[in-house]
Amino acid sequence: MRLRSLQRTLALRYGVTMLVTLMGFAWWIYGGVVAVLQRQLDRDILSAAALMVDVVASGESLAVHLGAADLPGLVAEVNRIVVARDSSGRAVDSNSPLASELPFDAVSFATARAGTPSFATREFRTSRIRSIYFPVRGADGRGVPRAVVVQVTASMEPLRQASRGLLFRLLLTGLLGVLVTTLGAAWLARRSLEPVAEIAAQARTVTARGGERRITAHADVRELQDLIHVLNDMLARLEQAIGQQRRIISDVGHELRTPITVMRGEIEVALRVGRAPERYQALLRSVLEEVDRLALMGDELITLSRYESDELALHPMSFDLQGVIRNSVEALRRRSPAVPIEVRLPATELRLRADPRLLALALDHILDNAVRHTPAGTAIRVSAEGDSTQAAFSVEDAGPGVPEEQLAQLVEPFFRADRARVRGGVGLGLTLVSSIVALHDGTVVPSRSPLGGLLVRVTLPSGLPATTPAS
Amino acid sequence: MRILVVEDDPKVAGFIEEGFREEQFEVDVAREGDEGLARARAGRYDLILLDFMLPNRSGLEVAAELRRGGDQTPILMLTARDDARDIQSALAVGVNAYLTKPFRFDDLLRQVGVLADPSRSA
Repeated sequence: MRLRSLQRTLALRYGVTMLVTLMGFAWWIYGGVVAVLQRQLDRDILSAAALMVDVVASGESLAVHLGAADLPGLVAEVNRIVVARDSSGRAVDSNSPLASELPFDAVSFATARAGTPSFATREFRTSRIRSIYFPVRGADGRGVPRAVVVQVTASMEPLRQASRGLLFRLLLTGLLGVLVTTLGAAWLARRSLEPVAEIAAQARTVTARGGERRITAHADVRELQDLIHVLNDMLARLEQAIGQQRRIISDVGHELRTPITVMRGEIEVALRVGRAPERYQALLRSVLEEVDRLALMGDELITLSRYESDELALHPMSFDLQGVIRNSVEALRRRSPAVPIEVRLPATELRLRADPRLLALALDHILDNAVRHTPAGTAIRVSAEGDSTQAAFSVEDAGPGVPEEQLAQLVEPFFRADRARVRGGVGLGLTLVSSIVALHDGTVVPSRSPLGGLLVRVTLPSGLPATTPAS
Repeated sequence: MRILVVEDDPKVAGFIEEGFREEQFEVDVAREGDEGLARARAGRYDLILLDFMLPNRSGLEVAAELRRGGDQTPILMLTARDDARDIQSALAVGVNAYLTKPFRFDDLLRQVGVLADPSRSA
């Protein structure tokens, strides 16, 4: 994907705007100034003509007011050439030998002869000249008898040079201005975007091993606050997630050691001498228990990873909760044959619409938790009850229980009321339970059991239409 | 040889006890910290096998208490943790050696032999 350069776009847009503005401005000024100069020239020759008309009318010779002798003189000294013309347009008097060479504008002459002064522009040699044809009025007899129009001519070369010079200046200034301001705009754009580049550079240095790192660059710039907050939030969540993963992996590693220690130890001791078959059978059963424990650990891990990635999907169906309870109790008996289990179930069905697999997993966790904490020989109790709107099951043990103030924390990940007591699982059993129960819109409530230890009660809505009769 | 095994996991305590008995050791088992401490003080043992994680009183505390009371019985600590800090604190408290779980039973026997009779080479 071709990337747009914001910097280039900004600078170009700015440059084009500047160019259009400055060029428009220059054109407007140029036009104005040239018009002023033009009018000024016209006024000059007009007033000169008005004067010369008096001279001619008074009979004086124009030769007295010497004009330019040649073209350079006409241009350089800004002289006027004055020509008196008779009614046929022939020059009868003038102040310059150039007069005879001057181009004659018949239209303007005719207009002046009719009594109205008239301007004309003509080419003369290499440049242009501006002439005014002024009517002569009221000759008093002493004047040049046949002059009817006085022509005053000036060179337009000075005007041309002046306007050229102006145009040059304007264009140069304009283009330089555009160049400088465009470069300035490009620099400004780059400077404005620098903080973004610096923030990106800082964000890059935070790696998985970065630890407590936050974006601090330009944290005081108002326009960048949003960006920085979002980035820092993401970094915090990333840190937390990675930390949690590390703890899980470390915990798993440690937890695996106990079943492995048991299996290895029992097998090694058993193999030291020949044993009776019953001994080997007992050994194999014991090892199998540990295998079941490891399997449960595996289930926990997989479920945990699904929970972490929001993949814990619910597959609801209608079933009898009693079936799930009985299965889990049987599995527990196989895993921990030394633990007595008291089961109190109602005579009626406990119909639910829920995910039996997930509920079984939750129940397994709670049962395992109870078995872990109950003292050797004492029983754990499993009971259940329900009606058409909900079903509930409870698991109690006679262990040390959990202090009041820690009850609420039980469902937090990795919380263990007494670390020394945990054997098997990864300390998130009850967290998983609460997330599974939450998926079913149920509740899990830990409390103190009359048996002396912990009581965990899970209540689930039946999820069935109210019209279903209780069996 | 009289050995006190302080271990809360019934299965682990089980195979250790069985294995030691077959080696003609006399074995006493305590299932938690307080009981372990009481037995250690009451009896005369050639070696105390102490688990790091115990209910009521941790293995570390039991070892510290024994040493504070002047008991010099060799202590071999079993631990699933191989954290350098935990091992250092164990050794600092006066534990003679440690063995990380899972361990080979032969290694356990060898360590027991070395600790209970220092004149024997490892």
